[in-house]
Amino acid sequence: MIHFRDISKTFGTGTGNEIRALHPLNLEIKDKEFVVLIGSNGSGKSTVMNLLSGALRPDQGQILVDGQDITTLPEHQRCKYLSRVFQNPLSGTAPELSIEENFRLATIRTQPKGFRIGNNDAFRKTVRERIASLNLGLESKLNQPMGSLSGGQRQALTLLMATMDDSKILLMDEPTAALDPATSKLILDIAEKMVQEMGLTAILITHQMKDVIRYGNRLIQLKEGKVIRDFPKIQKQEIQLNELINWFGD
Amino acid sequence: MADLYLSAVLLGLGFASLSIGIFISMRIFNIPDITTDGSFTLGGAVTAVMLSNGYNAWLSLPIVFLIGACAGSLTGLIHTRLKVNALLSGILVMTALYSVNLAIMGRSNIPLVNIPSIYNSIQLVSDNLIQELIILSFIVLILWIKISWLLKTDFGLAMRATGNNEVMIRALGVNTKNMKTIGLALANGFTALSGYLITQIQGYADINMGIGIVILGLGSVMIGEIVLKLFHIHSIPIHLLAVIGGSILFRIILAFALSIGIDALYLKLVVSVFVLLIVSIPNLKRTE
Repeated sequence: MIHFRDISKTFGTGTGNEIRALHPLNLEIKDKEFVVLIGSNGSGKSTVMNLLSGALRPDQGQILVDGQDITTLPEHQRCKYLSRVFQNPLSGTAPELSIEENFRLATIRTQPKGFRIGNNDAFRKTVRERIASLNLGLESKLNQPMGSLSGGQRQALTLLMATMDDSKILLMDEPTAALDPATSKLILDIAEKMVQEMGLTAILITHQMKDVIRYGNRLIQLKEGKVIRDFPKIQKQEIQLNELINWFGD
Repeated sequence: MADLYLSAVLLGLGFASLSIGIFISMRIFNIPDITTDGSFTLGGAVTAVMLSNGYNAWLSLPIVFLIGACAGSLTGLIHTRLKVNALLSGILVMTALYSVNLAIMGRSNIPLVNIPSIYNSIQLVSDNLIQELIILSFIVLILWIKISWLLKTDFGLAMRATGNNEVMIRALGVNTKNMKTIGLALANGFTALSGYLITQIQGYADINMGIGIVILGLGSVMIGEIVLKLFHIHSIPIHLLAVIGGSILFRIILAFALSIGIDALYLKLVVSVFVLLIVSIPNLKRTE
């Protein structure tokens, strides 16, 4: 369970253009919830994500994961709890490393990176099988540098890499913003399948209203750093597309 | 004449360790590290002082490496912990090292005449140059095998990813500050090792032996990469081999420049122009 307790975050404190990104936010996300987070630009969506991942520290309040206080835990130590898929499809993979090497690093996300060669035949076989499940024909290209693939292919692999080591929480900050509609659908379908199969808790930020309706089992809208709408699954299913767009005029 | 080119190969092998150091800092970690000029001399200074005080040459090797690594980790700490620009961090440590090196040496030049070195510790063949060639090749071979292995381990993958996509590797649980510091330590360890090898080849250590040396490493790495690009090779061991080959080739080209009568005074100018050429030619061909 993820718990934001009285979290506040202000950018540019003391300067003329002070921005209160979150003031105070209280939010509980239960295990295996797939939360779709929406809101206008500047509503604090990404701040929520960055606070959880450790890229930002809150000014006040606590962040708990499974009852453990992770508020001051540095970014690289939070990987024990969560994996991330970035908005930029190129951010989640190292271009000069091969596909196989990228997967090796993802597989030992929560473990120390020691002095042993881990990508052996058995490992290669597992990776090949996992990649084959994407049906993108990439399983024969394990030795190619990641940089030789397209943004969509890299984002699909990033998603898969996010689940190579046991993770409980998957954070996706507009993972399809830079992709065409067909690829976007492919990526989010993969995400949904993985969230269900592996019983993950997931947060998805998106501006695509169709995706808001299609994916997830809880819908949260932020405005000026506060939760203004919060719908569980049943209510979420009844929401209509045109209704959704009107929310942004509020 | 043959001796001129053989000597060039020897120097190339001696500088290969420096080129590997530059490869690690520049290519693996994407950090322009200028500490090199100081840590190369540091390696030479420590070697000269240890050998002239009767220490065993082979025993001095790990010590020289460690001291070079200390200099590199200092640059790394200044860069990652005090958040000083990488280039400036290197310049600061390099400048400070000039005084440190002088203090270690006690004077500006230490000759090593009739002092046992790694090259005459065991007599394999009667010809001195061939003897040096065998021992240098042996050391460079070990370096090549060890670093190729290191870069394939999980730790090595994390090193490479740190320079390649820092955001990603942090999300995968790597402390990139520590990783960069370790990388710079390694790079300067290899640079000091190069100072150790060269000092024993030339038979003296000099306080100015490191001036402009960073360009030699850069040039070697880039010559190697031009070859790699022609063949579209991605393998790390072959990349390292190209760096070593680049270092030797660079020395042969310099020997050639000297042999056709270019004044040794202009050598640094020749080196600069040459490196400029290899850096810029691939860019000129690109039509963007």
